[in-house]
Amino acid sequence: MENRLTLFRRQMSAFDGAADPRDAIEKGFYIQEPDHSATTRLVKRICLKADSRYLLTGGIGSGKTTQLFRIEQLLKDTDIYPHYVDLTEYENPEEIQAGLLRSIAGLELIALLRNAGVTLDIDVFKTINEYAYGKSIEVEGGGIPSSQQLLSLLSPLQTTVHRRGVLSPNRTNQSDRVSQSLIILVKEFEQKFKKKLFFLFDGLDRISNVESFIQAASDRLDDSGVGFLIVGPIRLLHSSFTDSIDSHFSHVEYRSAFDVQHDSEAYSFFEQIIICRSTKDFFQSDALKQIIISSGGVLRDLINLTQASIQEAYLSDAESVESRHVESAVNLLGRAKILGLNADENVTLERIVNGNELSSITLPEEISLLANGRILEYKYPEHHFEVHPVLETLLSKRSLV
Amino acid sequence: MFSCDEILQRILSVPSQNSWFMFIIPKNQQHDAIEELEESIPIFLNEPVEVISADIGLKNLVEKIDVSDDRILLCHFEAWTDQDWKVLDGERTRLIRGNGGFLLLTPEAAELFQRYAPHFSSFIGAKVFAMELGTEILTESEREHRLELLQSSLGKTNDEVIRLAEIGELPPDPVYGEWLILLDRGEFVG
Repeated sequence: MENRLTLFRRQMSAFDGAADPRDAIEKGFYIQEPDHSATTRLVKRICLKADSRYLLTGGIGSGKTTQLFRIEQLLKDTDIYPHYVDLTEYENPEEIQAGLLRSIAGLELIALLRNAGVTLDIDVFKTINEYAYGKSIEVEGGGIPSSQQLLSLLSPLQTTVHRRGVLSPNRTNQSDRVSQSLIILVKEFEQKFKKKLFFLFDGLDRISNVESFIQAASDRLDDSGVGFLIVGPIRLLHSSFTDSIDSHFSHVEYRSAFDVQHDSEAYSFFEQIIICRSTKDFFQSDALKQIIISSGGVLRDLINLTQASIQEAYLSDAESVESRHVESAVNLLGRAKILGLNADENVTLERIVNGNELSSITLPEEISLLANGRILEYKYPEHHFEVHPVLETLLSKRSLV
Repeated sequence: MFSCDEILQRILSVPSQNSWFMFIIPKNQQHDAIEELEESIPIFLNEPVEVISADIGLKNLVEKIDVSDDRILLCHFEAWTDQDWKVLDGERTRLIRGNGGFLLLTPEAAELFQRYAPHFSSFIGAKVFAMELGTEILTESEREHRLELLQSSLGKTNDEVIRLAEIGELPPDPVYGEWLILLDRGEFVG
């Protein structure tokens, strides 16, 4: 018979905020988002114009990576070959610069073709590698590498472990040659795979400098006919680049929080996420509702709150999750989210909690609160902003003291 | 505030897969907290913990995390700047690939972390605990209650657990480590 700790651990393991979304999809935890969600529409757009640039942005934990994997899944049934790349495997987002996407596109194409058994042109390989890593390709015994040695260097790229430090300072800057090489690689790819390549670039939502993001995302891959969808920071929508964003991307997809208070489909979507990973009986109905509402419609917060509520139930010797357990979990998450706020941000939050509606995001403290998930933006059924419910509870208590 | 015992029970109840916790402790108690956690976590979890000090610098820290096979306890972030935390936030994918770990932060460092590493912070979620040293010893009634809970949860008596430990047939579940310690039979642990 399963002991109580094992039972609770099993329940908690299904609600891991740090889990790889691909694992969740493989375990059958993926729930179709409400009809008004954008995934299907976005896939249609990509299918119509696969050589364009698309931007996906949204709050922290809003499900951007899961959406990328879902898009990848849907595109596999079309004439497009989706290829997911976590850019942070190559470079820290704080250190990126223009040329990043071309380098990585080249390196990934080389790896894809090598894995498919295609023999590559040595000059193309050299051009891409030198553009990415510079001329200092090290070989045993030192000196200039022979063609044979260069070819042997190709094999590490077959693995998923990437060399860090793409775009070293001593890289070459032969833009035309790189374009030509990319065109050759893409032609080889299309010949071999009989599909159009489309990149799904993840990870750059973590960049703090919006200008660096724009520089990196403006890389021209379209000479080679390859398009991409890139995940970017939410600050981009509230920066000096906001007005010119349409010139950088064919389409901007924004993932707002789900309005679980006013949208019954969104509520049901969140409920299904919990139920499919657990059993409805494990949560008392008022507790389940409290978790969903307190998540603010942010997917990762739903997962975190559910796990924390299960833990509270375990520690208090209960057999199921009750409202009092959710209250403790909400308190813990609220206290974590209130840490690190500055005076202006505190004043802004208190102002909203006390009934002053926020109609747009303009001030630096408002942008910061939105970017860090303390203020949530809802697009459907009506556009509005709210303080995250776990903070609202804490701030309301504070104002009563 | 959470006692070390309570924190250990919370760690124990969460599946070991890649979970991160944050503990907040004043700077003058950090040394004692590290000693306490370094000693207690392996007993409770039945697995080693590697303490890595952040004063070796960001790049070295990330490299050490990358190659560690153990759960890690990261500490001494007092000298870290806003930019250090931002760069660490960018390395989130690599950080969450391992076995998870613990961040031991002063209140000031915790504020910087929440502000400048929001992506990493969102993975920690509600697992943020202000730690209180010196209140680790459970009262007699708390100890009794915990033992009763373990007996009812696991369907074994205290005597049975000691007997199984004596003949080396106690299941490898870390919960039995906690049980033996509550029974003052720590000699069977480890």
